[in-house]
Amino acid sequence: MITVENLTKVYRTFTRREGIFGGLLDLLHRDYRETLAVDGVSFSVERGEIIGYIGSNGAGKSTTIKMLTGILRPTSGHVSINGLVPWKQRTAHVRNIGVLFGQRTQLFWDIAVIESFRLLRKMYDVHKVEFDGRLKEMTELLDLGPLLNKPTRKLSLGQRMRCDFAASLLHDPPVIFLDEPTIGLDVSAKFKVRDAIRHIALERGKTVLLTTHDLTDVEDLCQRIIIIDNGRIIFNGSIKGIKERMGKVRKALIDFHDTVSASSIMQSFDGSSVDAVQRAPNQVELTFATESISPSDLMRRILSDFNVQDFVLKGPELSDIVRKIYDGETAIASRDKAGE
Amino acid sequence: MEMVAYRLKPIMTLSGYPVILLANYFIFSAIFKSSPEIAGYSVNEAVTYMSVAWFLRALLKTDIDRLIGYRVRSGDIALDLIRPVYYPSLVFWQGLGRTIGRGVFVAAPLIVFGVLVLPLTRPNGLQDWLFFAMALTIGYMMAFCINLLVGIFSFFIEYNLGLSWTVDMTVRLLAGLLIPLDFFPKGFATVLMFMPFRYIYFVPIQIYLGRIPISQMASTFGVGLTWVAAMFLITHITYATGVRRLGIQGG
Ligand SMILES: Nc1ncnc2c1ncn2[C@@H]1O[C@H](COP(=O)(O)OP(=O)(O)OP(=O)(O)O)[C@@H](O)[C@H]1O
Ligand SMILES: [Mg+2]
Repeated sequence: MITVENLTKVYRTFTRREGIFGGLLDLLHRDYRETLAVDGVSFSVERGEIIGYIGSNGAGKSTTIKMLTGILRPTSGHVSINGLVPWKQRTAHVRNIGVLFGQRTQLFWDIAVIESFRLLRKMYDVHKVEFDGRLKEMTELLDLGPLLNKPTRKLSLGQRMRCDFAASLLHDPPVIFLDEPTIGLDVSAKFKVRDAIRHIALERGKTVLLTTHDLTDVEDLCQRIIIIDNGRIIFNGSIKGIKERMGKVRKALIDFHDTVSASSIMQSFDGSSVDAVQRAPNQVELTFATESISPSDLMRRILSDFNVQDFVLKGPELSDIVRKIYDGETAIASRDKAGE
Repeated sequence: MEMVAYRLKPIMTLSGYPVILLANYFIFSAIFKSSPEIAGYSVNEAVTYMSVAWFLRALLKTDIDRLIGYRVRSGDIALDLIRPVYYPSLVFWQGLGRTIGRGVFVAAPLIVFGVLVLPLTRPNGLQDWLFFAMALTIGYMMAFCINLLVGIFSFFIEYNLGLSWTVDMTVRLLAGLLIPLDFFPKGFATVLMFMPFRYIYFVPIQIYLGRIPISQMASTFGVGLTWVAAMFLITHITYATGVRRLGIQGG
């Protein structure tokens, strides 16, 4: 469905000199600076997959999406989506894709949302009956009913995002790019958008590539994640896989009926593979490596030795893992290569 | 659409134009005090020329060049380029929408004002009106192409407001919005006759005033259409080159 090979983008920005004299010099000769935003990225996506494309700020996510949507020409590399090269066959390509830039709106600012939808219908020549059916589906899915007759500029961010998301699907594209679809949304709006994404991927068989800084989105939606850092892919695989590989350290939070000190627990584990921290007089947080003790063994011993009121086994948390990866990028990148 | 959305805006825009009409009326009345005819215009014809010029201006000022520049700087141009529509034609429809809005909310009241207050002349018959309408269409296309071209320049230079202003002022001069082109010294006026700009204001108004003989109509329209075709070609090439090197901002 989507094949990306060695995709590279170098931005050239001109550095302007200061003052009038500098401005005159600029006319004669301009200095430019090069930014390597995307650096030899390769991956592929199958039909019906939801891919989380994640990375820290400035990693190159939006730049990649812009190239995949055909609006930005790459410096080098090859992309094929539905058999088309996005930037070469742009007008044909954009019929096959739905795009949401969470930071901007594709709706017309001053007119009612429903009017924007009708204009989009004209642009994509969607058949009236088809359009009405899809609009109904979207209205239910995203709860758009009360919003359709308002002008875009009167919508809140979350309301606008839901309308925008619907707008990107009205022409029934097989491939959907979502650049930060949940940015600035409250919990309930976020859930609505996620449900809608899941619905169109699982039930409609659409292919979705999304970027986000909210890793719970990714955990909730994606089977596979691609992590990009400084323009390079440093991880491409299942969430389960990365958790197994990186999530060897887990946590347990335990409430006791009476006061229990962290040190007494450390002692009962010989102080070796388990680390305990006092959270409250009767609450202790344990950190342990699953290589040396399994979660079930750990709990069995605690439950037999102490008077436990409640416990929570945590993680491995994707956000912890990803933070670790962002911080110590080279470590995993090289380990990845060794593993291949 | 924007016109309807902000009801106050057309009123604000509108208020400047009558002032210009009146100012032109006073200026030209003063100029014509010393002689009853200048460059073949009577005072009423000159006043009509200036008034019609500003009626047209009210219709033609779509600001699509600024719109494009703004969308390039903000990166919203991305949202235009993900549409399965040739971008210049998208802009054309946007421009036409604005023109219709301005026609209803700015030009129509202005024309009513002008007709009521100023001594304006009218074309002689239906045929002259038709020729005027044709000339107007050519002028509209020409103005659109120039605006579009200035807009597309923002693909290359990002900040096109300065260019936009310069071009606007130049067009005012060379197209005959400032004064009728035949008021200029002979040499300069002749040069302007070989340029495309006059098709925006000067030519339609000459036809309105019945100053172009029927025998010259065909050649006038022929040359005008050729210029429009050339301008479309130039804008297309500029667009196709620009869109390849466009760096989409933001994200
Ligand atoms: N139009 C541009 N001109 C020059 N450099 C740019 C341009 N757009 C992006 N960059 C640079 O390219 C790099 C990647 O930017 P990009 O917008 O792709 O990041 P991102 O992964 O989307 O980040 P974020 O999570 O903050 O949205 C950054 O270093 C950025 O400064
Ligand atoms: Mg981004």
